[in-house]
Amino acid sequence: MKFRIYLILLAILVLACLSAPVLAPCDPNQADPTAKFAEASREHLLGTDYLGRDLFSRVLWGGRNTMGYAVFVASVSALVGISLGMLSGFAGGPLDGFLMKGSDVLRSFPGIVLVLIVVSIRGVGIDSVCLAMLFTRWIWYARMTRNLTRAQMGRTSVLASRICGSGRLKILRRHILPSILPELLPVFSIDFGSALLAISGYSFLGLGILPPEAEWGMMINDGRNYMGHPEMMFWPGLCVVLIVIGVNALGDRLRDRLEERRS
Amino acid sequence: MNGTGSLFYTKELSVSLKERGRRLPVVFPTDIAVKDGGCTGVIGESGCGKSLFGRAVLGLLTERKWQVEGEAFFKGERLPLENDREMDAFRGRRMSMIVQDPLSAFDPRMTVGAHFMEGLKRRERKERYREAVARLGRMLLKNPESVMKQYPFELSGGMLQRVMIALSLFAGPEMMIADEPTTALDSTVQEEILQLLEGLLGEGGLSLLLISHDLKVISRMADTVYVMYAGRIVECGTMEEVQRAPLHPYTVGLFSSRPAFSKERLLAMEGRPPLLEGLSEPGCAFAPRCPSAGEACRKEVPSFGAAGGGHLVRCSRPEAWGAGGRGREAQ
Amino acid sequence: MDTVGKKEETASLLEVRGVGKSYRGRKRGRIAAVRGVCFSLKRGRCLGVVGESGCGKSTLCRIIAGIEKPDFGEIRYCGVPADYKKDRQKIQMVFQNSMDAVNLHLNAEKIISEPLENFFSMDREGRRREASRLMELVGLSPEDMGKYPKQFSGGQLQRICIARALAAKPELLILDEPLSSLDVSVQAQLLNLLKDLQEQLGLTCILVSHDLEAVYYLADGLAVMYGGALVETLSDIEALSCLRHPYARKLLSVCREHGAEDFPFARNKEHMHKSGGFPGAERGAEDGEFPGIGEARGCVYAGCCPEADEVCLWKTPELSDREPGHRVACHHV
Repeated sequence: MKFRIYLILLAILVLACLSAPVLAPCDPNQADPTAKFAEASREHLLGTDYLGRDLFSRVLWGGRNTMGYAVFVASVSALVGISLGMLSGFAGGPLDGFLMKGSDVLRSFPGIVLVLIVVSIRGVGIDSVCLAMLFTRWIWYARMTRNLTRAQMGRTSVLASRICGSGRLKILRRHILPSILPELLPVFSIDFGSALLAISGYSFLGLGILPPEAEWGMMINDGRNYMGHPEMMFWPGLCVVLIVIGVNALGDRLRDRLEERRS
Repeated sequence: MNGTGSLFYTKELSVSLKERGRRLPVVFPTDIAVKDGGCTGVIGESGCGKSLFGRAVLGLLTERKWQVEGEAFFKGERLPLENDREMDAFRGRRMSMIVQDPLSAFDPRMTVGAHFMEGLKRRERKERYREAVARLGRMLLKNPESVMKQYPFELSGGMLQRVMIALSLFAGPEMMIADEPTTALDSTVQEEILQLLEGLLGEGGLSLLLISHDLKVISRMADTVYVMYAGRIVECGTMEEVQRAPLHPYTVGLFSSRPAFSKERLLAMEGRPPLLEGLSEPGCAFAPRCPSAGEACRKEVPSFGAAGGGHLVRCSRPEAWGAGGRGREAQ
Repeated sequence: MDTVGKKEETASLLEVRGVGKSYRGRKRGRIAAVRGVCFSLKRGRCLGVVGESGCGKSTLCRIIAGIEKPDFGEIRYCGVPADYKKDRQKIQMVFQNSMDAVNLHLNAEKIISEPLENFFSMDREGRRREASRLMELVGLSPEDMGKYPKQFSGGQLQRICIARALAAKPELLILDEPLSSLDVSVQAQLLNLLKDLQEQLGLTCILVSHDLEAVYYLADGLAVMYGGALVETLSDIEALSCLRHPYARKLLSVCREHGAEDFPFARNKEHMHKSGGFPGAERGAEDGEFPGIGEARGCVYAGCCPEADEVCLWKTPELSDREPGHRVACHHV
């Protein structure tokens, strides 16, 4: 029951943000100095911020940014991680050793330090932040995929497939990938949540998306200076929390389902 | 068979699975008796409910999942199957159990010795240790002292089974339930374990309820045999009699489907046992596979019919099969 | 080798020559799984390999099937060293646990079609027809082709595995304990099926099992394995009672129906004392390395043998001819 509520909220939020160009009543970046800190009204559903920009529109457009980049980071790192993990697990031997040792080295960098390094080289911007995040995010996928692949490789079904004359690529595509994907799905959902938090966090620190573009983390940061108007922090904060909880609940549910099926 | 006077007997003991508010019967009301100092065998294929029955008798089935009804008597005393705590007085102390996969029955983090010492105070340990070593020696283990120091996974299946037998006999039970004690073992080791159990039956004064799918094991050990199919006993009698003249078509099929050093074509039974959901369907559960099933067989479950000398068979047309020796000859 | 030997060589489909394989041990050193196994198998015959768990029979199967490389020795197929790229289609294998041997995400049709896709150029319709023919061949209804492995019983799934192996139109079929996880009545059904298939298709088979009676039913020849080595081979399985090796006789004697009285020594108590567990694999581990062929390391069975003496402990007995078609590896026969 609780899960349904999360799911519905998640769906509404995602759909609303996706249809921001249609739903948003105002241009999110258009300032209106005459209407600073306006109360919620029919014109401004959630009121306005310190420059008189419509909060509702900014939340919607900000969600597009935040979630879009989170999806991008999570998908690219999943794609890279799963491919490298499968390669590593399937090849074994020195290549496996090299890839896994390499990932250990990369993993030993704290994420924030890596972001700072990339930002200092390439300059502030969301692309730098995403790049820095991609450096370390694929490792989790690669590790898991590699172990799952190795477990699958030891199965008799893979031996049987070799005896049936299937080549390596076919074994990977036909036998290993379908068996490990369901196990990686919950990992993806959890990773997406954490990527979203990270993007908001870096923007909050002023490293990510540049103003005046809307983004949830940055909106929270803006609101920090105007504590007298908590709605500026409340709405984007609530969205972040709801999305993360919803996605994690989805991931948990997927994992439970899989465990049920296995037992 | 009438159990009163036996060391152990059950009276209409049944097991059903609780699932989503439904109750699926898995073992139908069953009477089984074990004579003092005797060995009773229960034979059946996987899923026929024989293992569940063995567990139910010791009150080992979780109440959340299983519903056990009926009664069991040990030395004339009714077993408190419904009360887990009261069963402790019987479990291990007067009735013990050994299982198929010995490795899973041990705690992997404890040495064999620690299993013997469990729950003892320090000063009692020395004595217990000596006793345990002596017991292991009696199980014909080569090197009991070193076995005591080893972890379960370091021992081979045969050795572990010996340790398990020693452990289960420690409190001096009068009856042992052996659930597929040799299935996971190699045939030569199997033989050794069976010899060991035989020794316990004869000199040790132990009674045995032997549950197995292996005809060879049962026919070698048991004096009385119960054949179980789809949750029901379909035939019972003395081993000799059942082996000489099996009456139920399932028993006949079971005997004839084992190759016995011959290249003659096997008389295999067609089909497969009913699934759990199909157990409560009307009619004899074996009817779909039975070569001589008639209309009546599909309508109601036949009741036990006596074939003389305590030999009972649950078949409405045992005469169709006659008393014709082993299945091979009967054809 | 003389000319007679050469003639024999061309007649045999498979020849295993001194094959050995070892694995890294748990503590240190290596454990020998297979030690210098030699045998040959003629076309159209069925060899039964018996032995207890851990005796290396599964490893031997995998080596012959080409999914593991031997450390030494060679496999000759049709008189030439086996090339598993080229001969892949001709050597097929059926595994012990059918539930583990198939991909649970694929349905029966896809499982059976896999070798068809790889070995034959067939369109989808042709594959489907062939798969349904194979389903029927192994006694299943072609209507069940769309079902997934979990919907089949163990016996049915093993039939599907047999169908998959047969789809490649193999010459040599390796059956690695195909019956051991099945019920007695299902075992009988499958034994009959395998026997029919053997006759219909003229297959050459290697049947690995711990069940001597089942092997007797299907096989023409017998090889007894212990501790990674062949201890006795018999070209005619019906001459079972002339088994000579102490281990082979013990194995035979525990199959009661054959009459244990003929082999009284195997039942004496002293013998039982000696055999606590199986020593084969562990012995190798203690040695730190595993013996090569002919290396003086003693008989694999010496630790459990009631007749073992000094010689057995240091000299490995060679598999040598006793009678035509009967070879034993023991000093005391």
